[in-house]
Amino acid sequence: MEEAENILVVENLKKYFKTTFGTVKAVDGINFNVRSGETFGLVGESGSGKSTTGYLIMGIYTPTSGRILFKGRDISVHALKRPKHTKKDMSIVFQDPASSLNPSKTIRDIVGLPLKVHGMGKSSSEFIEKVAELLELVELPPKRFMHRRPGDLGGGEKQAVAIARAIATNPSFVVLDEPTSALDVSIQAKIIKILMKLQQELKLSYLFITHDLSLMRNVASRVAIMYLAKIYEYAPARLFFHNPLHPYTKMLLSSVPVLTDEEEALKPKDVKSTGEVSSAINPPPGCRFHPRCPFATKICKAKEPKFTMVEPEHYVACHLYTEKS
Amino acid sequence: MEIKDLHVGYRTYRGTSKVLNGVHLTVKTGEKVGIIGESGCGKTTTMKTILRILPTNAVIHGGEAYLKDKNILRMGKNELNELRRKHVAMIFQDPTAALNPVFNIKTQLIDVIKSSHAHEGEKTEEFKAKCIRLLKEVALPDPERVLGSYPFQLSGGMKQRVCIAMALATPRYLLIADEPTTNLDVTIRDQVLLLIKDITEKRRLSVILISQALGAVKGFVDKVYVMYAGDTVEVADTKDLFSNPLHPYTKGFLDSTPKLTGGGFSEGIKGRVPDYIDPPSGCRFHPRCTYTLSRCKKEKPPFIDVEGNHGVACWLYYKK
Repeated sequence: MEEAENILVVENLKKYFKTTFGTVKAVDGINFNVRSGETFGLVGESGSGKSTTGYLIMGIYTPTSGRILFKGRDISVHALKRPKHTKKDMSIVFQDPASSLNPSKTIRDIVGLPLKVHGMGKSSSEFIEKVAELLELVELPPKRFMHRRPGDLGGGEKQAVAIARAIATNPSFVVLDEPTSALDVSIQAKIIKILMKLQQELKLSYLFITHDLSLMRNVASRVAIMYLAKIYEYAPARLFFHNPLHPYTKMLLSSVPVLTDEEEALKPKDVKSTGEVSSAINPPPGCRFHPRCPFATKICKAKEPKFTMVEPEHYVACHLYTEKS
Repeated sequence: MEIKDLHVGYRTYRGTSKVLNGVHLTVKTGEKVGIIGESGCGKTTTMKTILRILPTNAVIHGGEAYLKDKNILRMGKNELNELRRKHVAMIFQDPTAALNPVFNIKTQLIDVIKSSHAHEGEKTEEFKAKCIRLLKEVALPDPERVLGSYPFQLSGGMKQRVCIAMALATPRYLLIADEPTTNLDVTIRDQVLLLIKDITEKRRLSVILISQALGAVKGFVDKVYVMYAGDTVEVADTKDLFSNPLHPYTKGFLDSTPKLTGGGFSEGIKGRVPDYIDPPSGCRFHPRCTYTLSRCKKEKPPFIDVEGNHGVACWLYYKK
């Protein structure tokens, strides 16, 4: 892994939440890196800690321990304590545009807020021009949308506004937290198109968080899979889908509903979906997936698996593969 | 079950919206039917009409809906209760909202069994045994514990299984599953769908499955209806529809689904579902369609039988 290229490095990141029922380990020691200009995919079911990871990177939560390096600088503190130019350089698009946009503001105010905060577009004509330019970028005709409010817009249009706001300060890194899972598939395709176009034009790096594997196959260059606060497999997208290794990855892939026979052929046949995600307060010992794993042996219950490189750039944390090597 | 030319609207402060604009639907005994379409296409409104659980501002403008030769739209209160108790069951999208949070599962399940009046001469202990049998049927582990639990103590997948158990607590003809897996995780979705499929096949129930997950529909049903803006735009056997979609909307919809094999994305469908207060004239899809003819703007296309069971409502396929 060439260090120089990495825009974001996450090292042994942990986030624990204290609740009345005990400590929830939402993120428990994960490592990954996002390269400049790529889309890094983080997949997992609900409760796996993928959104928490995104929030930690954005500084919405303070990490319990571990480091987040952004362009070489340690930013593992709350956003309030981060330097302003770092905050300007990264942004986030949330899952539900209906709740992430203020319903009482106009689109101009919403998209313009980051510009005001960071002192861009000083004069009012410059400000309007900049907002119009941003709306053009997300394919919303500025004249028609500038003075409307989120309530007048469809789901896809709202999400486009959220994207315009995210790129307003010209960041180099954007966290996309399930940006299309609240949208219809016909709208999803359009939003993804816009995101990919923006990545090309503005040289953006994305951390793409989703539970939708078919979508991930089409957008991500590298993928990590999370289960109960830990990453279990880590590979370039092509290897991840053509040669999945971890039983959990296989289970997820075999559960994806597909349309064509070629897709059907890609689905692993040896793992059937069983059981449910265990509690995050009291996760199973050893490998956290062992209660649902058809290949679980004694060692899986006792010892946590370590990451092994199975083929170039393809890492997996599973005892099935450590024994072989 | 048969629906003919159903028109339903909602009264709002801006005027009356015309949501359903002539929906057709036929479900034979033991048949599994899927309905696909974007959100806001009237899928759920159609289902609510079948159960007559539409909100009070809804108006049924016209059409007929028959269940075993009885017109649901003409039923009185008692007949409707009978219908909901004994004949048609529904599984909703969000199991958390479908279950009552202040009663435990046992109370809620027994309620359903009692209300169906199928319990003549049974005792309380027998109810419990019946509940446990039901929960076992939906593959819930540790049914004794689940019975005593409140909904918040169960996970989403477990709650949805309880809802399925409730829907199947008494013998029915028809099961309506309204996006039963949308709120669940990917691995759980698969399990729940398989469960519904197994049980309904075992009991020879007719099923209407509403979903946006095309893959799920494909693996489940015999026949698919495509709805757009309150119209039935295409109907075909499942295999036919996915291999040879005819309506431009169906094509766009299928293309928008990301593939596991990669290969990038289509453009999606431009625009969005129209405003029902003032819907487009003629074919309601014409402002979003890439093949629009002048006729599309003026006249609503008739339903054309193309071949076998494949029908489509589009002027492109109209021959004199």
